[in-house]
Amino acid sequence: MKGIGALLVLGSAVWLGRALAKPLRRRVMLLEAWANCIGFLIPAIVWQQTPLPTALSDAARAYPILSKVLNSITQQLAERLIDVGTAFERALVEESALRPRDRQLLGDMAAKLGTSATSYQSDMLRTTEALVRQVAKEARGEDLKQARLVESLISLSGLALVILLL
Amino acid sequence: MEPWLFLPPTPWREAISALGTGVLSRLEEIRFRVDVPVMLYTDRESIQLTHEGVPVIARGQDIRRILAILVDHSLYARVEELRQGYITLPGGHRVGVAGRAVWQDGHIVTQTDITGLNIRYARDVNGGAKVLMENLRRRGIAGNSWVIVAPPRAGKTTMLRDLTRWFSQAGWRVVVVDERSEIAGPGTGHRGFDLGPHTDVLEGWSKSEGILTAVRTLGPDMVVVDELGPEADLDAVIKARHAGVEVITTLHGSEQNGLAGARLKRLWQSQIFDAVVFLGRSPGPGAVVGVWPPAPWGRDGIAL
Repeated sequence: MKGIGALLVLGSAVWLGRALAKPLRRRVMLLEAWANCIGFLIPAIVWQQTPLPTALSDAARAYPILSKVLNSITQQLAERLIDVGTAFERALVEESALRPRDRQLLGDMAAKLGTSATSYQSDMLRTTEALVRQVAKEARGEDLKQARLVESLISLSGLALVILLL
Repeated sequence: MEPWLFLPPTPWREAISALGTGVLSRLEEIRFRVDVPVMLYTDRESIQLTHEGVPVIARGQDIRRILAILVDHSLYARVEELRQGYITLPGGHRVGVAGRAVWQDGHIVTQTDITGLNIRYARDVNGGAKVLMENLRRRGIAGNSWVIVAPPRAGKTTMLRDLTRWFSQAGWRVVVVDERSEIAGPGTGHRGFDLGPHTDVLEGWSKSEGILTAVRTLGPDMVVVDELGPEADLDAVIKARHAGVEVITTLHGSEQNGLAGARLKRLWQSQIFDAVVFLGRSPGPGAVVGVWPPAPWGRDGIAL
């Protein structure tokens, strides 16, 4: 019985550590996916001149981690009531792993998306892509370290509790 | 209700949907002008758009939002159209855009500070071509290359569409050079208006390039092209005629002004058309108000 109890406590600690670290890991994945997604949008907008809702739908298929947000944006645009900036803002609210700074970056891009000639769109998207990549790089360094630390600390706490109880 | 009426967002959409069917069935244009009430134009009157009894006024930001929605938030794909002062919507409906011109290196590159939008409904009317055909045959005009001349809103494009369908259904291989996507009115990847089974559409091509490409690569019996513009367009039409291809085209103008227009004069003098057809708005758009038989036995029997 003691052994089973110890395993349960240890398992719970590992699970809790992972759960607490999940948003940190997810933020890194999201930011990297957004950087790639913006890179995907550049030729779609600049070269193919694909209508924005179609380009976003294509991006949703290419980047499954962003599909919920991107599909939400295209659905809102299809209702023909709001602008792109508002649609992004509403959709990104659902993504809790992102920080205000990340949302600000994507929101600034959304406000200008589709509103100018291809050359300006290209410059704006490339700049945003570089900024998001930079933030993603920082997040990979800091957030992943923090995620590993959280996991280790909670797992070790669980282990310490087991040792004490035994 | 016609789907085009739902193109503007709320609150204009609600206001339009609340109109009676009598007005809706006759509606031709919706005009948004900054800071004044939105106006609706039917074939015989203009009406203020109201919502719950209050006139609906469009502000600058509203007009920007409507334009963004009309172009699917993709202005980057419409810069050339915007430069020329219009946007074509799926279904061939045209939006005239009024704003401040942006100049670069001596040329207008786009418009900004948009202050007016004129959403104009593209109608598909059957039967006009048959009537025109009978009219021309009665006058002894056997050829099928015509210039259709009319003032704005007199039904030139509608007539062109019906003629395209008529010839195509009669087995002619027709190529439509549709620079502004108004004749065919396609949606993304789909056909718009019925233009018959033997019609190809060169959408978005400049008229001169489109005509020459059609003749070179698509083997048409007939080329249909709307609103000839600069000299290059006239040159391309003349080349197509010399290649043995029938051409039906349109020009802005009226019978009263006649040969005062340089383009009509040049086409007339080139003797490559079988007839010049003048359309008017009375008793309704598409009414044939005059026909000039082929030069040089043309108007008043004077060789030109």
